[in-house]
Amino acid sequence: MKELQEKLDFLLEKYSVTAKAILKDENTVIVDGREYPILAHRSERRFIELKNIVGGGTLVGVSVMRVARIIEKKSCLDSALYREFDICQWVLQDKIVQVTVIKNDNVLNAIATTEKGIVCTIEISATLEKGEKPIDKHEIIAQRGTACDVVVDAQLQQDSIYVFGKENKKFTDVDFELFGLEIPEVAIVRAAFKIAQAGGCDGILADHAKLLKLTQAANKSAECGERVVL
Amino acid sequence: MKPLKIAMMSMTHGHTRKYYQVLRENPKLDWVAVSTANDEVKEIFLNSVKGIPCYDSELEMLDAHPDIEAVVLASENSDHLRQMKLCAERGIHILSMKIPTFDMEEYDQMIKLMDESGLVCQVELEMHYNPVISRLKELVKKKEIGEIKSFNATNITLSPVWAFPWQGVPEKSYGKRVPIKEGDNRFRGGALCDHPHIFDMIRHITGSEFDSVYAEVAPNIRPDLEEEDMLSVIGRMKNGTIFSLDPSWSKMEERIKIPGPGWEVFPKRMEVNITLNGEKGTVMADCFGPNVYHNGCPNDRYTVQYTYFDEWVGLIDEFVSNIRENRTPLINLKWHKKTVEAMNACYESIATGKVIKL
Repeated sequence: MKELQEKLDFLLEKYSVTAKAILKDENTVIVDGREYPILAHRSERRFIELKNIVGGGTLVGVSVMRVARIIEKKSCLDSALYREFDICQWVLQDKIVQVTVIKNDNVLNAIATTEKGIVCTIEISATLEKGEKPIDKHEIIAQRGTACDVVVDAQLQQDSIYVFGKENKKFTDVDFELFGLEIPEVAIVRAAFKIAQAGGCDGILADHAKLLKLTQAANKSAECGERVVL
Repeated sequence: MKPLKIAMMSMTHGHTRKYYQVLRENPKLDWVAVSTANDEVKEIFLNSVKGIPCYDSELEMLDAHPDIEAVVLASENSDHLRQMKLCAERGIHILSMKIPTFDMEEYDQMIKLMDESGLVCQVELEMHYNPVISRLKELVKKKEIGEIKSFNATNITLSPVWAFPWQGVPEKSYGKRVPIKEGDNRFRGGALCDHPHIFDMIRHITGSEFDSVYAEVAPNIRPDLEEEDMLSVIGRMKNGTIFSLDPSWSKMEERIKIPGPGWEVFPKRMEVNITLNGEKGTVMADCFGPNVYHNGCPNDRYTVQYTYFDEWVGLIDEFVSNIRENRTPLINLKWHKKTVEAMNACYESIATGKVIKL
Protein backbone atom coordinates (compact mmCIF):
# COMPACT_ATOMS: atom_id res chain seq x y z
CA MET A 1 0.00 0.00 0.00
CA LYS A 2 2.91 2.37 0.73
CA GLU A 3 3.99 2.59 -2.91
CA LEU A 4 0.42 3.07 -4.05
CA GLN A 5 -0.13 5.82 -1.47
CA GLU A 6 3.05 7.57 -2.70
CA LYS A 7 1.77 7.43 -6.29
CA LEU A 8 -1.63 8.74 -5.15
CA ASP A 9 0.04 11.57 -3.23
CA PHE A 10 2.06 12.38 -6.34
CA LEU A 11 -1.11 12.74 -8.41
CA LEU A 12 -2.88 14.74 -5.72
CA GLU A 13 -0.02 17.18 -5.55
CA LYS A 14 0.54 17.40 -9.30
CA TYR A 15 -3.11 18.19 -9.99
CA SER A 16 -3.51 20.43 -6.89
CA VAL A 17 -6.22 18.35 -5.31
CA THR A 18 -6.83 19.65 -1.82
CA ALA A 19 -8.83 16.71 -0.47
CA LYS A 20 -6.96 14.38 1.84
CA ALA A 21 -7.01 10.82 0.46
CA ILE A 22 -5.69 7.75 2.25
CA LEU A 23 -5.71 4.27 0.78
CA LYS A 24 -7.04 1.98 3.50
CA ASP A 25 -6.65 -1.15 1.40
CA GLU A 26 -6.97 -2.10 -2.27
CA ASN A 27 -10.76 -1.75 -2.12
CA THR A 28 -11.19 1.36 0.05
CA VAL A 29 -10.07 4.97 0.08
CA ILE A 30 -10.73 7.47 2.84
CA VAL A 31 -11.37 10.93 1.44
CA ASP A 32 -11.56 13.73 4.00
CA GLY A 33 -12.43 11.20 6.66
CA ARG A 34 -15.16 9.37 4.72
CA GLU A 35 -14.70 5.83 3.39
CA TYR A 36 -15.46 5.01 -0.23
CA PRO A 37 -15.28 1.72 -2.10
CA ILE A 38 -12.78 2.18 -4.92
CA LEU A 39 -14.26 -0.14 -7.59
CA ALA A 40 -10.80 -0.04 -9.13
CA HIS A 41 -11.75 -2.14 -12.17
CA ARG A 42 -13.72 0.85 -13.49
CA SER A 43 -10.37 2.57 -13.95
CA GLU A 44 -8.80 -0.29 -15.92
CA ARG A 45 -8.43 0.94 -19.47
CA ARG A 46 -9.72 -2.29 -21.00
CA PHE A 47 -13.04 -1.90 -19.22
CA ILE A 48 -13.23 1.80 -20.07
CA GLU A 49 -12.75 0.90 -23.74
CA LEU A 50 -15.24 -1.98 -23.63
CA LYS A 51 -17.76 0.44 -22.08
CA ASN A 52 -17.05 2.95 -24.83
CA ILE A 53 -17.46 0.27 -27.50
CA VAL A 54 -20.83 -0.74 -26.08
CA GLY A 55 -22.11 2.73 -25.26
CA GLY A 56 -20.61 4.52 -28.25
CA GLY A 57 -22.49 2.53 -30.85
CA THR A 58 -19.60 0.39 -32.09
CA LEU A 59 -21.57 -2.68 -31.07
CA VAL A 60 -25.23 -2.79 -32.02
CA GLY A 61 -27.80 -5.00 -30.31
CA VAL A 62 -25.88 -6.55 -27.43
CA SER A 63 -27.04 -10.09 -26.65
CA VAL A 64 -24.57 -11.65 -24.25
CA MET A 65 -21.65 -10.76 -21.98
CA ARG A 66 -19.36 -13.65 -21.05
CA VAL A 67 -16.94 -13.42 -18.15
CA ALA A 68 -14.40 -15.90 -16.80
CA ARG A 69 -12.00 -15.12 -13.96
CA ILE A 70 -9.46 -17.36 -12.25
CA ILE A 71 -7.94 -16.10 -9.01
CA GLU A 72 -5.66 -17.26 -6.19
CA LYS A 73 -6.66 -20.23 -4.08
CA LYS A 74 -8.58 -19.34 -0.93
CA SER A 75 -9.63 -15.98 -2.40
CA CYS A 76 -13.16 -14.85 -1.61
CA LEU A 77 -15.54 -15.93 -4.39
CA ASP A 78 -18.15 -13.39 -3.29
CA SER A 79 -15.68 -10.51 -3.73
CA ALA A 80 -14.82 -11.81 -7.19
CA LEU A 81 -18.49 -12.11 -8.08
CA TYR A 82 -19.15 -8.56 -6.75
CA ARG A 83 -16.39 -7.30 -9.05
CA GLU A 84 -17.69 -9.11 -12.12
CA PHE A 85 -21.29 -8.06 -11.45
CA ASP A 86 -20.09 -4.47 -11.37
CA ILE A 87 -18.04 -4.87 -14.53
CA CYS A 88 -21.03 -6.33 -16.39
CA GLN A 89 -23.43 -3.61 -15.21
CA TRP A 90 -20.94 -0.79 -15.72
CA VAL A 91 -19.71 -1.87 -19.15
CA LEU A 92 -23.24 -2.57 -20.36
CA GLN A 93 -24.71 0.45 -18.49
CA ASP A 94 -27.53 -1.87 -17.53
CA LYS A 95 -28.90 -3.35 -14.32
CA ILE A 96 -28.94 -7.05 -13.41
CA VAL A 97 -32.47 -8.06 -12.47
CA GLN A 98 -32.22 -11.82 -11.96
CA VAL A 99 -29.44 -14.24 -11.12
CA THR A 100 -28.85 -17.98 -10.85
CA VAL A 101 -25.70 -19.24 -9.15
CA ILE A 102 -24.20 -22.67 -8.61
CA LYS A 103 -21.23 -23.13 -6.26
CA ASN A 104 -18.83 -25.94 -5.55
CA ASP A 105 -16.10 -25.26 -2.97
CA ASN A 106 -13.58 -23.05 -4.77
CA VAL A 107 -15.63 -22.43 -7.94
CA LEU A 108 -18.90 -20.84 -8.95
CA ASN A 109 -20.87 -20.30 -12.14
CA ALA A 110 -23.61 -17.73 -12.61
CA ILE A 111 -26.11 -16.61 -15.20
CA ALA A 112 -27.54 -13.12 -14.75
CA THR A 113 -30.03 -11.24 -16.90
CA THR A 114 -30.18 -7.46 -17.20
CA GLU A 115 -33.14 -5.16 -17.46
CA LYS A 116 -32.60 -4.93 -21.24
CA GLY A 117 -32.56 -8.75 -21.49
CA ILE A 118 -28.81 -9.15 -21.97
CA VAL A 119 -27.62 -12.49 -20.58
CA CYS A 120 -24.36 -12.43 -18.58
CA THR A 121 -22.49 -15.60 -17.74
CA ILE A 122 -19.86 -15.44 -15.03
CA GLU A 123 -17.42 -18.28 -14.31
CA ILE A 124 -15.16 -17.87 -11.27
CA SER A 125 -12.57 -20.22 -9.85
CA ALA A 126 -10.01 -19.84 -7.08
CA THR A 127 -7.34 -22.27 -8.19
CA LEU A 128 -4.13 -20.30 -8.79
CA GLU A 129 -1.05 -20.61 -6.60
CA LYS A 130 -0.25 -17.71 -4.26
CA GLY A 131 1.33 -14.82 -6.13
CA GLU A 132 -0.05 -15.79 -9.54
CA LYS A 133 -1.76 -12.97 -11.38
CA PRO A 134 -5.49 -13.42 -12.04
CA ILE A 135 -6.48 -14.76 -15.47
CA ASP A 136 -9.64 -13.40 -16.96
CA LYS A 137 -11.65 -12.72 -20.07
CA HIS A 138 -14.57 -10.39 -20.79
CA GLU A 139 -16.46 -10.72 -24.06
CA ILE A 140 -19.54 -8.94 -25.34
CA ILE A 141 -21.44 -10.40 -28.28
CA ALA A 142 -23.90 -8.34 -30.27
CA GLN A 143 -25.97 -8.48 -33.43
CA ARG A 144 -23.33 -6.30 -34.97
CA GLY A 145 -19.90 -6.99 -33.56
CA THR A 146 -18.07 -8.72 -30.74
CA ALA A 147 -15.74 -7.01 -28.26
CA CYS A 148 -13.27 -8.78 -26.01
CA ASP A 149 -10.23 -8.13 -23.83
CA VAL A 150 -8.45 -11.24 -25.15
CA VAL A 151 -7.23 -11.48 -28.71
CA VAL A 152 -9.07 -13.80 -31.12
CA ASP A 153 -7.93 -17.45 -31.08
CA ALA A 154 -6.01 -17.03 -27.81
CA GLN A 155 -6.78 -18.20 -24.30
CA LEU A 156 -4.72 -15.65 -22.40
CA GLN A 157 -4.09 -11.91 -22.53
CA GLN A 158 -0.91 -10.65 -24.14
CA ASP A 159 1.93 -8.81 -22.40
CA SER A 160 3.82 -5.82 -23.83
CA ILE A 161 7.35 -7.12 -23.34
CA TYR A 162 8.74 -10.65 -23.17
CA VAL A 163 12.33 -11.18 -22.06
CA PHE A 164 13.94 -14.53 -22.80
CA GLY A 165 17.24 -14.88 -21.01
CA LYS A 166 18.65 -16.73 -18.05
CA GLU A 167 15.39 -15.85 -16.37
CA ASN A 168 12.31 -15.33 -18.50
CA LYS A 169 10.36 -12.17 -17.67
CA LYS A 170 7.42 -10.23 -18.98
CA PHE A 171 6.25 -6.67 -18.49
CA THR A 172 3.06 -4.78 -19.20
CA ASP A 173 3.35 -1.05 -18.52
CA VAL A 174 0.27 0.99 -19.27
CA ASP A 175 0.59 4.31 -17.45
CA PHE A 176 3.45 6.75 -17.98
CA GLU A 177 2.62 8.85 -14.92
CA LEU A 178 2.40 5.79 -12.71
CA PHE A 179 5.26 3.90 -14.38
CA GLY A 180 6.31 0.81 -12.48
CA LEU A 181 2.89 -0.19 -11.21
CA GLU A 182 1.04 -3.28 -12.42
CA ILE A 183 -2.31 -2.82 -14.19
CA PRO A 184 -4.47 -3.56 -11.10
CA GLU A 185 -2.30 -1.20 -9.01
CA VAL A 186 -2.62 1.57 -11.56
CA ALA A 187 -6.38 1.07 -11.44
CA ILE A 188 -6.45 1.38 -7.64
CA VAL A 189 -4.50 4.64 -7.67
CA ARG A 190 -6.44 6.11 -10.58
CA ALA A 191 -9.80 5.18 -9.04
CA ALA A 192 -8.85 6.59 -5.61
CA PHE A 193 -7.54 9.76 -7.25
CA LYS A 194 -10.76 10.23 -9.18
CA ILE A 195 -12.83 10.01 -6.00
CA ALA A 196 -10.50 12.41 -4.21
CA GLN A 197 -10.50 14.81 -7.14
CA ALA A 198 -14.31 14.93 -6.98
CA GLY A 199 -14.16 15.44 -3.24
CA GLY A 200 -16.00 12.16 -2.67
CA CYS A 201 -18.64 10.27 -4.64
CA ASP A 202 -22.12 9.44 -3.38
CA GLY A 203 -22.89 7.55 -6.59
CA ILE A 204 -20.24 4.99 -5.83
CA LEU A 205 -21.67 4.44 -2.35
CA ALA A 206 -25.10 3.80 -3.86
CA ASP A 207 -23.61 1.41 -6.42
CA HIS A 208 -21.76 -0.42 -3.64
CA ALA A 209 -24.96 -0.91 -1.67
CA LYS A 210 -26.74 -2.31 -4.74
CA LEU A 211 -23.81 -4.62 -5.48
CA LEU A 212 -23.91 -6.00 -1.94
CA LYS A 213 -27.62 -6.71 -2.42
CA LEU A 214 -26.91 -8.42 -5.72
CA THR A 215 -24.19 -10.56 -4.16
CA GLN A 216 -26.61 -11.51 -1.37
CA ALA A 217 -29.15 -12.53 -4.01
CA ALA A 218 -26.48 -14.64 -5.69
CA ASN A 219 -25.78 -16.43 -2.41
CA LYS A 220 -29.48 -16.98 -1.90
CA SER A 221 -29.67 -18.57 -5.34
CA ALA A 222 -26.67 -20.80 -4.61
CA GLU A 223 -28.35 -21.92 -1.38
CA CYS A 224 -31.86 -22.55 -2.71
CA GLY A 225 -30.74 -23.86 -6.11
CA GLU A 226 -33.14 -21.62 -8.03
CA ARG A 227 -33.13 -18.35 -9.92
CA VAL A 228 -33.56 -15.23 -7.76
CA VAL A 229 -35.40 -12.26 -9.21
CA LEU A 230 -34.45 -8.91 -7.71
CA MET B 1 -9.45 -56.85 -43.61
CA LYS B 2 -12.02 -56.68 -46.40
CA PRO B 3 -12.86 -53.03 -47.19
CA LEU B 4 -16.25 -52.03 -45.86
CA LYS B 5 -18.73 -51.15 -48.60
CA ILE B 6 -20.14 -47.83 -47.48
CA ALA B 7 -22.65 -45.31 -48.82
CA MET B 8 -24.02 -41.93 -47.77
CA MET B 9 -27.63 -40.76 -47.66
CA SER B 10 -29.25 -37.34 -48.09
CA MET B 11 -26.06 -35.22 -48.08
CA THR B 12 -27.92 -32.35 -46.41
CA HIS B 13 -26.07 -32.40 -43.09
CA GLY B 14 -23.37 -29.85 -42.35
CA HIS B 15 -20.84 -32.60 -41.77
CA THR B 16 -21.37 -34.21 -45.19
CA ARG B 17 -18.24 -32.72 -46.74
CA LYS B 18 -16.12 -33.93 -43.79
CA TYR B 19 -16.55 -37.45 -45.13
CA TYR B 20 -15.44 -36.83 -48.71
CA GLN B 21 -11.73 -37.18 -48.03
CA VAL B 22 -11.86 -39.95 -45.45
CA LEU B 23 -14.25 -42.11 -47.46
CA ARG B 24 -11.99 -41.86 -50.49
CA GLU B 25 -8.65 -42.26 -48.72
CA ASN B 26 -9.28 -44.78 -45.95
CA PRO B 27 -8.10 -48.17 -47.29
CA LYS B 28 -10.57 -49.93 -45.01
CA LEU B 29 -13.46 -48.45 -47.01
CA ASP B 30 -14.96 -48.94 -50.42
CA TRP B 31 -17.20 -45.92 -51.09
CA VAL B 32 -19.95 -47.41 -53.20
CA ALA B 33 -22.57 -44.71 -53.74
CA VAL B 34 -24.51 -41.74 -52.42
CA SER B 35 -28.15 -40.72 -52.55
CA THR B 36 -29.06 -37.06 -52.43
CA ALA B 37 -32.15 -35.49 -50.92
CA ASN B 38 -32.54 -32.70 -53.47
CA ASP B 39 -31.06 -31.20 -56.63
CA GLU B 40 -29.15 -28.53 -54.74
CA VAL B 41 -27.07 -30.95 -52.64
CA LYS B 42 -26.73 -33.23 -55.66
CA GLU B 43 -25.10 -30.44 -57.63
CA ILE B 44 -22.78 -29.57 -54.74
CA PHE B 45 -21.78 -33.22 -54.41
CA LEU B 46 -21.17 -33.72 -58.13
CA ASN B 47 -19.03 -30.59 -58.19
CA SER B 48 -17.01 -31.80 -55.20
CA VAL B 49 -16.51 -35.53 -55.75
CA LYS B 50 -16.00 -37.41 -58.99
CA GLY B 51 -16.53 -41.06 -59.75
CA ILE B 52 -19.01 -42.02 -57.03
CA PRO B 53 -22.46 -43.05 -58.32
CA CYS B 54 -25.08 -40.55 -57.17
CA TYR B 55 -28.78 -41.44 -56.92
CA ASP B 56 -31.87 -39.28 -56.46
CA SER B 57 -33.51 -41.83 -54.20
CA GLU B 58 -32.33 -43.91 -51.25
CA LEU B 59 -34.28 -46.97 -52.43
CA GLU B 60 -32.86 -46.70 -55.91
CA MET B 61 -29.35 -46.63 -54.44
CA LEU B 62 -29.95 -49.55 -52.09
CA ASP B 63 -31.56 -51.62 -54.86
CA ALA B 64 -28.71 -50.89 -57.24
CA HIS B 65 -26.05 -51.77 -54.63
CA PRO B 66 -27.27 -54.68 -52.49
CA ASP B 67 -23.67 -55.12 -51.33
CA ILE B 68 -23.75 -51.89 -49.25
CA GLU B 69 -22.76 -52.84 -45.68
CA ALA B 70 -22.93 -49.48 -43.95
CA VAL B 71 -24.45 -46.06 -44.48
CA VAL B 72 -23.59 -42.60 -43.19
CA LEU B 73 -26.92 -40.90 -42.51
CA ALA B 74 -25.85 -37.40 -43.56
CA SER B 75 -29.37 -36.08 -43.18
CA GLU B 76 -31.53 -33.67 -41.26
CA ASN B 77 -32.56 -34.85 -37.79
CA SER B 78 -36.21 -35.37 -38.81
CA ASP B 79 -35.20 -38.04 -41.35
CA HIS B 80 -33.09 -40.21 -39.07
CA LEU B 81 -35.68 -42.66 -37.76
CA ARG B 82 -37.12 -43.36 -41.21
CA GLN B 83 -33.65 -43.93 -42.65
CA MET B 84 -32.62 -46.12 -39.71
CA LYS B 85 -35.66 -48.32 -40.35
CA LEU B 86 -34.75 -48.52 -44.02
CA CYS B 87 -31.20 -49.60 -43.19
CA ALA B 88 -32.24 -52.03 -40.46
CA GLU B 89 -34.63 -53.81 -42.83
CA ARG B 90 -31.69 -54.48 -45.12
CA GLY B 91 -29.14 -55.35 -42.45
CA ILE B 92 -27.07 -52.22 -43.07
CA HIS B 93 -24.91 -50.75 -40.28
CA ILE B 94 -25.39 -47.07 -39.45
CA LEU B 95 -23.25 -44.06 -38.69
CA SER B 96 -25.75 -41.56 -37.31
CA MET B 97 -25.23 -37.80 -37.22
CA LYS B 98 -24.65 -36.21 -33.80
CA ILE B 99 -28.36 -35.86 -32.95
CA PRO B 100 -30.31 -39.05 -33.75
CA THR B 101 -33.54 -37.32 -32.60
CA PHE B 102 -34.78 -35.02 -29.81
CA ASP B 103 -38.05 -36.96 -29.54
CA MET B 104 -37.40 -39.46 -26.75
CA GLU B 105 -40.14 -41.83 -27.94
CA GLU B 106 -38.49 -41.90 -31.35
CA TYR B 107 -35.16 -42.33 -29.59
CA ASP B 108 -36.41 -45.45 -27.80
CA GLN B 109 -37.72 -46.81 -31.11
CA MET B 110 -34.24 -46.38 -32.56
CA ILE B 111 -32.66 -48.24 -29.64
CA LYS B 112 -35.18 -51.08 -29.99
CA LEU B 113 -34.61 -51.25 -33.72
CA MET B 114 -30.87 -51.56 -33.31
CA ASP B 115 -31.09 -54.01 -30.40
CA GLU B 116 -33.37 -56.28 -32.41
CA SER B 117 -31.35 -56.05 -35.61
CA GLY B 118 -27.97 -56.62 -33.96
CA LEU B 119 -26.51 -53.95 -36.24
CA VAL B 120 -23.88 -51.38 -35.33
CA CYS B 121 -25.24 -47.86 -34.85
CA GLN B 122 -22.48 -45.43 -33.98
CA VAL B 123 -23.24 -41.79 -33.23
CA GLU B 124 -20.95 -39.28 -34.86
CA LEU B 125 -19.41 -37.34 -31.98
CA GLU B 126 -16.06 -36.54 -33.46
CA MET B 127 -14.57 -34.78 -30.43
CA HIS B 128 -13.76 -38.23 -29.06
CA TYR B 129 -11.10 -38.48 -31.77
CA ASN B 130 -9.53 -35.08 -31.04
CA PRO B 131 -5.92 -35.16 -29.74
CA VAL B 132 -6.42 -32.24 -27.33
CA ILE B 133 -9.26 -34.17 -25.73
CA SER B 134 -6.98 -37.22 -25.46
CA ARG B 135 -4.40 -35.08 -23.61
CA LEU B 136 -7.08 -33.55 -21.39
CA LYS B 137 -8.32 -37.02 -20.43
CA GLU B 138 -4.77 -38.06 -19.63
CA LEU B 139 -4.28 -35.00 -17.39
CA VAL B 140 -7.53 -35.74 -15.57
CA LYS B 141 -6.61 -39.39 -15.14
CA LYS B 142 -3.26 -38.39 -13.63
CA LYS B 143 -5.13 -36.01 -11.28
CA GLU B 144 -2.92 -33.15 -12.44
CA ILE B 145 -5.28 -30.61 -10.83
CA GLY B 146 -6.82 -32.95 -8.29
CA GLU B 147 -10.53 -33.55 -8.16
CA ILE B 148 -12.45 -31.65 -10.85
CA LYS B 149 -14.63 -28.93 -9.36
CA SER B 150 -15.95 -27.25 -12.49
CA PHE B 151 -16.09 -27.94 -16.21
CA ASN B 152 -16.60 -24.82 -18.30
CA ALA B 153 -16.76 -25.14 -22.05
CA THR B 154 -17.68 -23.40 -25.26
CA ASN B 155 -18.92 -25.06 -28.43
CA ILE B 156 -19.51 -21.89 -30.40
CA THR B 157 -19.73 -21.55 -34.15
CA LEU B 158 -21.17 -19.47 -36.90
CA SER B 159 -24.72 -20.34 -37.86
CA PRO B 160 -24.92 -22.98 -40.57
CA VAL B 161 -28.53 -22.27 -41.51
CA TRP B 162 -27.77 -20.37 -44.72
CA ALA B 163 -25.80 -23.33 -46.10
CA PHE B 164 -27.88 -26.05 -44.46
CA PRO B 165 -31.40 -24.59 -44.38
CA TRP B 166 -33.01 -27.49 -42.50
CA GLN B 167 -31.15 -26.34 -39.37
CA GLY B 168 -33.26 -23.19 -39.43
CA VAL B 169 -36.54 -25.12 -39.60
CA PRO B 170 -37.75 -26.22 -36.13
CA GLU B 171 -39.61 -29.27 -37.46
CA LYS B 172 -36.49 -30.58 -39.20
CA SER B 173 -33.95 -29.68 -36.56
CA TYR B 174 -35.85 -30.24 -33.30
CA GLY B 175 -38.49 -32.53 -34.81
CA LYS B 176 -41.48 -30.33 -34.06
CA ARG B 177 -42.43 -26.69 -33.58
CA VAL B 178 -42.17 -25.90 -29.86
CA PRO B 179 -42.10 -22.26 -28.67
CA ILE B 180 -38.89 -21.53 -26.80
CA LYS B 181 -40.83 -19.82 -23.98
CA GLU B 182 -44.05 -17.96 -23.37
CA GLY B 183 -44.14 -14.55 -24.99
CA ASP B 184 -41.15 -15.30 -27.22
CA ASN B 185 -41.59 -15.73 -30.97
CA ARG B 186 -38.69 -18.18 -31.31
CA PHE B 187 -38.82 -21.97 -31.40
CA ARG B 188 -36.57 -24.83 -30.25
CA GLY B 189 -34.16 -26.15 -32.86
CA GLY B 190 -31.33 -23.62 -33.14
CA ALA B 191 -27.83 -23.43 -31.73
CA LEU B 192 -28.45 -25.88 -28.91
CA CYS B 193 -29.49 -28.59 -31.38
CA ASP B 194 -26.25 -28.07 -33.29
CA HIS B 195 -23.89 -28.44 -30.35
CA PRO B 196 -24.14 -31.66 -28.33
CA HIS B 197 -20.37 -32.07 -28.03
CA ILE B 198 -19.76 -30.29 -24.75
CA PHE B 199 -22.78 -32.01 -23.18
CA ASP B 200 -21.20 -35.29 -24.24
CA MET B 201 -17.63 -34.37 -23.27
CA ILE B 202 -18.50 -33.42 -19.70
CA ARG B 203 -19.97 -36.91 -19.17
CA HIS B 204 -16.99 -38.49 -20.84
CA ILE B 205 -14.33 -36.52 -18.95
CA THR B 206 -15.92 -36.43 -15.50
CA GLY B 207 -17.36 -39.96 -15.69
CA SER B 208 -20.51 -38.57 -14.12
CA GLU B 209 -24.08 -37.92 -15.25
CA PHE B 210 -26.14 -34.72 -15.29
CA ASP B 211 -27.89 -33.90 -12.03
CA SER B 212 -29.41 -30.49 -12.81
CA VAL B 213 -29.36 -27.83 -15.51
CA TYR B 214 -30.37 -24.20 -15.75
CA ALA B 215 -30.42 -22.39 -19.10
CA GLU B 216 -31.19 -18.90 -20.34
CA VAL B 217 -31.80 -17.85 -23.91
CA ALA B 218 -30.41 -14.45 -24.90
CA PRO B 219 -31.68 -12.10 -27.62
CA ASN B 220 -30.78 -13.46 -31.05
CA ILE B 221 -27.85 -11.88 -32.83
CA ARG B 222 -29.66 -12.91 -36.02
CA PRO B 223 -33.13 -11.49 -35.32
CA ASP B 224 -34.56 -12.98 -38.53
CA LEU B 225 -33.96 -16.58 -37.36
CA GLU B 226 -37.01 -18.26 -35.84
CA GLU B 227 -34.83 -20.42 -33.57
CA GLU B 228 -32.52 -19.53 -30.70
CA ASP B 229 -28.94 -18.62 -31.58
CA MET B 230 -27.54 -17.47 -28.19
CA LEU B 231 -27.92 -19.35 -24.93
CA SER B 232 -26.05 -20.14 -21.73
CA VAL B 233 -26.25 -23.22 -19.54
CA ILE B 234 -25.06 -23.89 -15.99
CA GLY B 235 -25.65 -26.85 -13.71
CA ARG B 236 -24.26 -29.69 -11.65
CA MET B 237 -23.21 -33.27 -12.31
CA LYS B 238 -24.14 -36.09 -9.94
CA ASN B 239 -20.57 -36.19 -8.58
CA GLY B 240 -20.82 -32.50 -7.59
CA THR B 241 -18.84 -31.02 -10.49
CA ILE B 242 -20.51 -27.81 -11.62
CA PHE B 243 -20.47 -26.61 -15.21
CA SER B 244 -21.01 -23.68 -17.52
CA LEU B 245 -21.65 -24.51 -21.17
CA ASP B 246 -22.00 -22.15 -24.11
CA PRO B 247 -23.48 -23.87 -27.17
CA SER B 248 -24.27 -20.66 -29.10
CA TRP B 249 -24.01 -19.62 -32.71
CA SER B 250 -22.04 -16.59 -31.50
CA LYS B 251 -19.63 -16.26 -34.45
CA MET B 252 -21.18 -14.13 -37.18
CA GLU B 253 -21.06 -15.37 -40.77
CA GLU B 254 -21.66 -14.33 -44.34
CA ARG B 255 -24.90 -15.87 -45.56
CA ILE B 256 -23.34 -18.04 -48.24
CA LYS B 257 -24.88 -21.23 -49.62
CA ILE B 258 -21.74 -23.32 -49.81
CA PRO B 259 -19.28 -23.24 -46.90
CA GLY B 260 -15.85 -22.09 -47.96
CA PRO B 261 -13.38 -19.20 -47.83
CA GLY B 262 -15.07 -15.96 -46.86
CA TRP B 263 -17.68 -17.62 -44.64
CA GLU B 264 -16.44 -15.71 -41.59
CA VAL B 265 -17.52 -12.23 -40.54
CA PHE B 266 -16.03 -12.78 -37.08
CA PRO B 267 -12.46 -13.93 -37.75
CA LYS B 268 -12.91 -17.36 -36.16
CA ARG B 269 -15.68 -19.64 -37.36
CA MET B 270 -15.63 -22.19 -34.57
CA GLU B 271 -14.28 -22.84 -31.08
CA VAL B 272 -14.37 -25.69 -28.60
CA ASN B 273 -12.53 -24.55 -25.48
CA ILE B 274 -12.65 -26.41 -22.19
CA THR B 275 -11.52 -25.09 -18.81
CA LEU B 276 -11.26 -27.59 -15.99
CA ASN B 277 -10.96 -26.11 -12.52
CA GLY B 278 -9.79 -28.54 -9.88
CA GLU B 279 -8.95 -28.51 -6.21
CA LYS B 280 -5.26 -27.98 -7.10
CA GLY B 281 -5.32 -25.88 -10.25
CA THR B 282 -6.80 -25.17 -13.66
CA VAL B 283 -6.37 -26.65 -17.13
CA MET B 284 -7.36 -24.51 -20.11
CA ALA B 285 -7.68 -26.25 -23.46
CA ASP B 286 -8.35 -25.04 -27.00
CA CYS B 287 -9.32 -28.14 -28.95
CA PHE B 288 -8.54 -26.67 -32.38
CA GLY B 289 -5.17 -25.05 -32.74
CA PRO B 290 -2.62 -23.63 -33.06
CA ASN B 291 -3.77 -22.04 -36.29
CA VAL B 292 -2.57 -19.68 -39.00
CA TYR B 293 -4.08 -16.33 -39.98
CA HIS B 294 -4.61 -14.32 -43.15
CA ASN B 295 -6.48 -11.36 -44.52
CA GLY B 296 -6.61 -12.44 -48.11
CA CYS B 297 -9.33 -13.40 -50.57
CA PRO B 298 -12.24 -13.27 -50.89
CA ASN B 299 -13.08 -10.53 -48.33
CA ASP B 300 -9.65 -9.24 -47.18
CA ARG B 301 -10.78 -9.83 -43.57
CA TYR B 302 -8.46 -11.08 -40.85
CA THR B 303 -9.37 -14.76 -40.60
CA VAL B 304 -8.38 -17.80 -38.57
CA GLN B 305 -7.38 -20.60 -40.90
CA TYR B 306 -7.63 -23.92 -39.09
CA THR B 307 -4.67 -26.26 -39.35
CA TYR B 308 -6.13 -29.41 -37.88
CA PHE B 309 -9.46 -31.10 -38.53
CA ASP B 310 -8.77 -34.82 -38.67
CA GLU B 311 -11.34 -36.15 -36.21
CA TRP B 312 -13.15 -38.10 -38.93
CA VAL B 313 -10.09 -40.30 -39.55
CA GLY B 314 -10.25 -41.88 -36.08
CA LEU B 315 -14.03 -41.90 -36.09
CA ILE B 316 -14.25 -43.92 -39.31
CA ASP B 317 -11.46 -46.30 -38.23
CA GLU B 318 -13.43 -47.09 -35.09
CA PHE B 319 -16.68 -47.48 -37.03
CA VAL B 320 -15.10 -50.04 -39.37
CA SER B 321 -13.52 -51.95 -36.47
CA ASN B 322 -16.83 -52.01 -34.60
CA ILE B 323 -18.53 -53.62 -37.60
CA ARG B 324 -15.77 -56.06 -38.48
CA GLU B 325 -15.15 -57.09 -34.88
CA ASN B 326 -18.83 -57.00 -33.92
CA ARG B 327 -18.23 -54.48 -31.11
CA THR B 328 -20.66 -52.03 -29.55
CA PRO B 329 -19.49 -48.49 -30.33
CA LEU B 330 -18.33 -46.38 -27.41
CA ILE B 331 -20.74 -43.69 -28.60
CA ASN B 332 -23.83 -45.80 -29.10
CA LEU B 333 -27.48 -44.78 -28.96
CA LYS B 334 -27.90 -45.81 -25.31
CA TRP B 335 -24.84 -43.86 -24.14
CA HIS B 336 -25.85 -40.79 -26.10
CA LYS B 337 -29.45 -40.80 -24.86
CA LYS B 338 -28.50 -39.11 -21.57
CA THR B 339 -26.75 -36.32 -23.47
CA VAL B 340 -29.87 -35.66 -25.54
CA GLU B 341 -32.00 -35.76 -22.38
CA ALA B 342 -29.78 -33.09 -20.81
CA MET B 343 -30.14 -30.92 -23.92
CA ASN B 344 -33.92 -31.31 -23.76
CA ALA B 345 -33.74 -30.31 -20.09
CA CYS B 346 -32.05 -27.06 -21.18
CA TYR B 347 -35.06 -26.27 -23.35
CA GLU B 348 -37.36 -27.10 -20.45
CA SER B 349 -35.36 -24.79 -18.18
CA ILE B 350 -35.57 -21.97 -20.73
CA ALA B 351 -39.34 -22.47 -20.99
CA THR B 352 -40.00 -22.63 -17.24
CA GLY B 353 -37.25 -20.45 -15.78
CA LYS B 354 -36.50 -23.29 -13.36
CA VAL B 355 -33.49 -25.44 -12.56
CA ILE B 356 -34.34 -28.86 -14.03
CA LYS B 357 -33.39 -32.03 -12.16
CA LEU B 358 -32.46 -35.02 -14.28
